[in-house]
Amino acid sequence: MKMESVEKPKVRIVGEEKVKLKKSFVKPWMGIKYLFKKPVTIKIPFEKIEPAPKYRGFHTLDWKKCIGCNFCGQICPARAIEMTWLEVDGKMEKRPHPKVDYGRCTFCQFCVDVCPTGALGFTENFYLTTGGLEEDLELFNWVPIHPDKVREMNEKFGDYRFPVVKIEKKADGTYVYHLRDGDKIEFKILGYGLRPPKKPASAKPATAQEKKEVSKPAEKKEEPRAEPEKAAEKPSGE
Amino acid sequence: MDMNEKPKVEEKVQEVPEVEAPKLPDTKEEKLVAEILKKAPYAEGSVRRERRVEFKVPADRIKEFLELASEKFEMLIQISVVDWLKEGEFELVYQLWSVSESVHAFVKTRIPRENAKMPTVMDIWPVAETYEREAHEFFGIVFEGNPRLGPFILEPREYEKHPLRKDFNMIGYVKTIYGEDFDRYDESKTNYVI
Amino acid sequence: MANLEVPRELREEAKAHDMYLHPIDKDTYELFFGPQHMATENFSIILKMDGNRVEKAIVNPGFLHRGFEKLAEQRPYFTNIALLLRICVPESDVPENIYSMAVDEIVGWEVPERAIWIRNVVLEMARLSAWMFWIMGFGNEIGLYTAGQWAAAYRERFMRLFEELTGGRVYHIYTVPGGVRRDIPGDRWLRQLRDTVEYLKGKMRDFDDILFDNYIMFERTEGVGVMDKKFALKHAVTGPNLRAVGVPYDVRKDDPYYLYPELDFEVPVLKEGDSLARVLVRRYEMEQDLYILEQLLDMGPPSGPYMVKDPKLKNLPRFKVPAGDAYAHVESTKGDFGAYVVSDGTHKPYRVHIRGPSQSHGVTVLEELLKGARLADVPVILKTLDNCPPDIDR
Repeated sequence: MKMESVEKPKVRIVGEEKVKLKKSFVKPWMGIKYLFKKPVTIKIPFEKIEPAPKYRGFHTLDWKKCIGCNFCGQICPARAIEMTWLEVDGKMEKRPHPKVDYGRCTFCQFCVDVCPTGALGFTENFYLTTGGLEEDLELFNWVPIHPDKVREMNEKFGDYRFPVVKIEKKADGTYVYHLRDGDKIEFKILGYGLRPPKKPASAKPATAQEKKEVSKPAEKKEEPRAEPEKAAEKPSGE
Repeated sequence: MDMNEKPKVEEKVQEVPEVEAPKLPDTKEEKLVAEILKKAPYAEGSVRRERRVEFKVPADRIKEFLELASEKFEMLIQISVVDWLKEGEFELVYQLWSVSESVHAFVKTRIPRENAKMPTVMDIWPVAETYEREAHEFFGIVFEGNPRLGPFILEPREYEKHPLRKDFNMIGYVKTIYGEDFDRYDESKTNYVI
Repeated sequence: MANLEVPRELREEAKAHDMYLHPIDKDTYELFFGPQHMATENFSIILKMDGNRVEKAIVNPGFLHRGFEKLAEQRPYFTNIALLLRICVPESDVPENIYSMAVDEIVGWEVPERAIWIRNVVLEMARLSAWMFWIMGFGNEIGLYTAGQWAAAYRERFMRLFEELTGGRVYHIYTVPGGVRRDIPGDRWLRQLRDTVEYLKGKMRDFDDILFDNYIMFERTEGVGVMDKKFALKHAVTGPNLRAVGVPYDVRKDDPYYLYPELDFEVPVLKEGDSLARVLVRRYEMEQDLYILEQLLDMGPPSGPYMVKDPKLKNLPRFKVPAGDAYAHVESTKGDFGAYVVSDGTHKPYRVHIRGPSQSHGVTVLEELLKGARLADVPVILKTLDNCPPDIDR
């Protein structure tokens, strides 16, 4: 910092001659003039304010770009991000993708800052209200969807609501995201964590073996990173 | 306060090269350190940077030293405790600020972790009461002479758990309070984290 | 939480039988003030009353303890910004800045000039919005609700500016070790900030009219909660409260950081040490902050990067800080806000200790000042000390 270069601060100390005020009986009545001015409040159903551009709202994720490096999971202050192994159209994704829990998320977007490929992003959407039912609360824990899709819906509706209206969870681990414009995103969650799940799909053994081969390089790459991670966690964890 | 003559002599013998070592004091920080060290030869002092000085004082002379320092440093800003688990010591950092000289001083002292005891400095700075209560609650250091040690910020059921110690079992405590389902594991799914 | 004079066993027994409010004597009684009372914000005071007079006050903090210092030991350096700023709610940039300054000092970074300028502007904006927050609380406590409502409306302007700059309204999570997270959104934002400063300058006169020149304010605060210079220094009173007893100590002047050595501003000092002096000092500082912001805008943001260039920052979650410790403090509206950060060379801080001004204002000082005060003066003393209980709890 450059404070060393300056010798003396140009700060003056002022005493009561400047600071003190005189009490007045008349002046408080001057506030009455505000009765005839336009109010600053916003009449909510008729007027609305837009969130600022780049307001830190819900996440987006480009599943093609995401390399599953788990930087986002490591930097998250609230531990809201969990790496998730997905199966889309019967094919397992090569790398895990982050699943964001909005019950924990603090919307600091450090995860977006550290994302090395720019896969994780955020939108200005900030509006999410649900009922208290268990199936409604599923909405708060999602794998973010593609930014183009969210932008498309923002242009269509323009009210900055959460892009998914319902997350349907089926018994075999299939999740269906019902988007606001009627589209559906369907995938299966195979497991959580950095390492790929042991049995990707017990129902389809033939494809599962293929998938295993695909996922092996990923596994090997992740392994050395996971080991120091564990060692570092232990002393502080317990 | 209740020091006997023996350690004083020992310290002096140790400190003789230290007193000679500092060069001619030219900045206000160096002058300040030299002035205090002249009166307190048992302490080690150094200038860290502009407006930051540091003293290392043995734990049994801390009260004496702080009384001396309070002439120059009018305010006790904070008492920070650092738990050095490997060394088995608590480090107490008395953060002092001198309004007249505009210098911040770290007065550091180390005491063993087991049965940690310190004399209170409430009679020098009454505000130390709060800092000592906090240090007592979070680290379990007993400040002899402070009448209000006890539950302060934490709930009574958390008292005497000393949560800011490095060996506090935080996960075990959270599990007992919130149950097993209030959980999140780290990315390798092996360690439970908060 | 509080250490009552009653032994602990008795306390627990009393708790079990739900006998908190029990008369001690015929005329003396115990009154639990807060945490629902608006003036106390988030802590409570146990008042031992004799009729209308407070005989003894025992501060009972801890309702907002979230253990941030412990949590910070378990998270990477950059992540902690998102936690520590919650220590000071109305002025959340202050914990961000002190933590970042301390980490900068340990690492030995030269923070880019542009980042310094932005940080300085953000700090001054935070000060102004915190002043508005304070007027809100103080006006409400002495019954002048209009001033509070105006202040809330003006604070919204700063929240809007913050929203555009940082992406957040209340918790900005903006200043990080080594710089800031985003660049200024453009000249339009600077123009908006200048407009807001000009607008508020005009509104200061209205605040004077309705609040600071108001005879009600004088009647309520004059001679209430008096402290002297010696008491204030012994109790580590800082900020406007210290300047109201005649000590011209301002961190921006005495331990200058950022661009403050180059700025031209006045430090108001009064001698009385009562609530009125504290209010008037605050009012003057509010005006000075507007001038400081104006000077900063006249300077203009220096060109260059807004974040330090360091190859180690590539792996942000594993970013290691060399071993060492540092203390950094800034002048917040409440007083001297400091952070002591100890690093042991790993990617997580070994210890983070935050020093909030309310640790002294809100406990020992408050307990002394409340002795002998009337019950109606308790909120006035609380608000003129500008007590922020999250500092105590952390």
